[in-house]
Amino acid sequence: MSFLSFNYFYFLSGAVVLYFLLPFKARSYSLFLLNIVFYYFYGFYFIAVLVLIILGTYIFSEFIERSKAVNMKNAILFISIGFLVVVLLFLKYQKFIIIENALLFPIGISFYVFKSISYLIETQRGNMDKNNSFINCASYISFFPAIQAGPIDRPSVLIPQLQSNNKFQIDNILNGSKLIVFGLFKKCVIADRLSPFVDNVYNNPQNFKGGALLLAVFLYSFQIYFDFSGYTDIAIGSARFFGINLSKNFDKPYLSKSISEFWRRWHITLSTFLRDYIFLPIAYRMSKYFTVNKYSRYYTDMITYIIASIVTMLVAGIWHGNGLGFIIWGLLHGIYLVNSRLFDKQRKKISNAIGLSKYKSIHNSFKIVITFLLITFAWIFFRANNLNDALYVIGNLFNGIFSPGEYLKGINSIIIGVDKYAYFYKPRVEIFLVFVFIIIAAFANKYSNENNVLVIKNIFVRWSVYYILIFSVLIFGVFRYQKFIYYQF
Amino acid sequence: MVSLGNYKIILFFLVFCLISIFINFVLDNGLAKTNIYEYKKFNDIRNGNIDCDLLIIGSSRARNHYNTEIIDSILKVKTHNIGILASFLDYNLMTLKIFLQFNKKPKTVILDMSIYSMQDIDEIRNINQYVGLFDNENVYSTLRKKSISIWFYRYIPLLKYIVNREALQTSLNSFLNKEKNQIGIDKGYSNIDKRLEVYEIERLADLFSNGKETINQDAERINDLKEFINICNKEGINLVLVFSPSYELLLNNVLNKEEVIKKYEEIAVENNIIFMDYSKDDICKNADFFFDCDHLNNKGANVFTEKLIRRLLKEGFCK
Repeated sequence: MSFLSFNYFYFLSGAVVLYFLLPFKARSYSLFLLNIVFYYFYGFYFIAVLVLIILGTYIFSEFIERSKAVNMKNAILFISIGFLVVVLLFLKYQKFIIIENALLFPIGISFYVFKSISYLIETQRGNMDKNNSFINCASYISFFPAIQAGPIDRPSVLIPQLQSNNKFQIDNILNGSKLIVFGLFKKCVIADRLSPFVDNVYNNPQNFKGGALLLAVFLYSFQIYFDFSGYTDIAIGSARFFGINLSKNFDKPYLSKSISEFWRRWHITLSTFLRDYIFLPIAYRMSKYFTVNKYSRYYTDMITYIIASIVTMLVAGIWHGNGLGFIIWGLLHGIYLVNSRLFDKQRKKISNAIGLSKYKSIHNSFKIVITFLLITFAWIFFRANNLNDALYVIGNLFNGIFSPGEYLKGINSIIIGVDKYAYFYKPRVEIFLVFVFIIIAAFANKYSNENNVLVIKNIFVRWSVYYILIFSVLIFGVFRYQKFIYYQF
Repeated sequence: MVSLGNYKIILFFLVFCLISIFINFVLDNGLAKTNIYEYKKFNDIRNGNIDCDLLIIGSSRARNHYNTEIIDSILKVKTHNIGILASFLDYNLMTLKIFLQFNKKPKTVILDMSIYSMQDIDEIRNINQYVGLFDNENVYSTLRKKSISIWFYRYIPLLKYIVNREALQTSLNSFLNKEKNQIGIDKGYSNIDKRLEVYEIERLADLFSNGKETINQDAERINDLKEFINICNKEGINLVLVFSPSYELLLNNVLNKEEVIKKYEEIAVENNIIFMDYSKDDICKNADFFFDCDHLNNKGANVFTEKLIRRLLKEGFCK
């Protein structure tokens, strides 16, 4: 069931009423049932896969829990993660093995498989309640606001909240509604208004050159951010209705001053998952190996960082999709991270030498711009339909830049053919309008607290912002797509 | 006890309602001045802008089949065509009522019939075209019978635009004067320069080979037709029922074609009005005259309109 359908809002309202009307003891069961009903809207097969993952996770976690020997625990963990990864990789990459009758890719499986892995690792580490019931495990994995595209919360964050006797609070409903409105604004008013322009270019990049390609590349950076963070706001807002706080997933990522900072601000729950379960274990193992062999500390640290970063980002790329583009995207981010660490001193020296570091705000702005450009460049591989398209886009980004008139004409061509998707019959009005909405979103974001709730003291201004957001969704929102970019992962 | 927080929520929603009413008003105004034909024809009706001697009412078929220019030039009368997309007899009755509510009554009305006119369809097709009209009793009572949503659209400000995005888009573009030009429509006649392609005929033949359809003659639609006739009699308007041409492939696929047409004839005889049946006319056999199975193209419309005029003159109408 899409977050953008009327059905979802009927479902959410009914679910909240049912949840709070039922006695406390029945709530966890009702919540699990609601999760199943929610996911059933995609079909029975989707439920079958979900139940298989839940059962597998719970049974393996019980084995881990009951094993006395550490080695046995480790072996079971290894087998169980292997089982989950094989299921995930099979469903993701089956098109390379099976030509006909490929199984559908269940929406959200990448996310709930990662939650299952998290559940198993935390069990192995002894961080879970020994008496954790099946229903807790199932509700954690299948919690409906987060099942389609996260956030990938840790069991230690979500399960205690699912178990607690939450009281109905009007503040939760209000704050949840505010988040949902902001999420809908980001998704329907900004991301889906940009989508026709971006799709127009990326679906047939060879028809475009120069300015149009460059504009599409930048527009996609905005589209994916507003699409995914809009989804996350709706997910977090929906959970808030039940008194449950899901983890924050975005923290103004495009204002990051370095790639490592970007990964602390973008898809935070995935980043921390990768950091805690892949990067740190690799780094830990390697550092143990190097300590034994007594190599130079600087070089061993550096080699550890390089290998751990590249492997982690490669996993991030593979997790996202089954094309070569995603792997290159992951590798690029790995290289960015390594480069950032390797040449940190040299960059500082250059900044000092040219005097840039004296002007902190200019220096910071410069870092933000460079980081944004690097991220935007990597998105080309992420968005392009295949590697050839990505290479064409890169190769022709600046084609004709020395003839400014021609280059601008190229920018103009991005609007050709999108009339039927555009809200206004003049698509230039449409692009201008989207930029106005991005400024509104940036303003709302700037004056929001960590829970994404506006904290402007002046009630007139605060309410005005809310009215602008609500009426923009109602009047300018696009509701025909019903899908989020991250549903495919 | 109502706390300060609750007062704030109530106030927030009150202001929300006020803004909704204002935006609804602005959008209604945008829709009221649009040049997009689907909306403009109703605006013209409501503004009493249509002054004609001969009025053509019907579905999209009426809109495509009766060339007003030819009628005007030969008969030397003022003709207007208000064919409404995807409409049946209940919509035709509604159109007549709102026309007479705001405009000078015409001398003659041609009601275009099709093989499907007496069907009862629950869904409201092309609902966007009615969005500006829910406050009109005739429109409201006709549409409300088909869907409860109409009640909500009428009484909850802005909802009709939130759900019917095409009307919203039309209104906004009209408000900003960014409308597309409407071409090929003259006094309600829509001139289509396209031919029914061979592959389309083959596709339909293939589709129809699965079995013939039976048209339901709904009692309420028959009553609508009788009411239509009564209103014309009461107002002293000459009424002509016309079964304009459909491509024979489509007509032959209807199992009870003769029965449906006979019903139209019976009603016409009962009420002493003329029924002109073109279901067996040569036009129906020629794919060159159609752009789809149920709609004439400009070539077909010209031939049909001239034939009709000759017959109207013969019958003594519009002298």
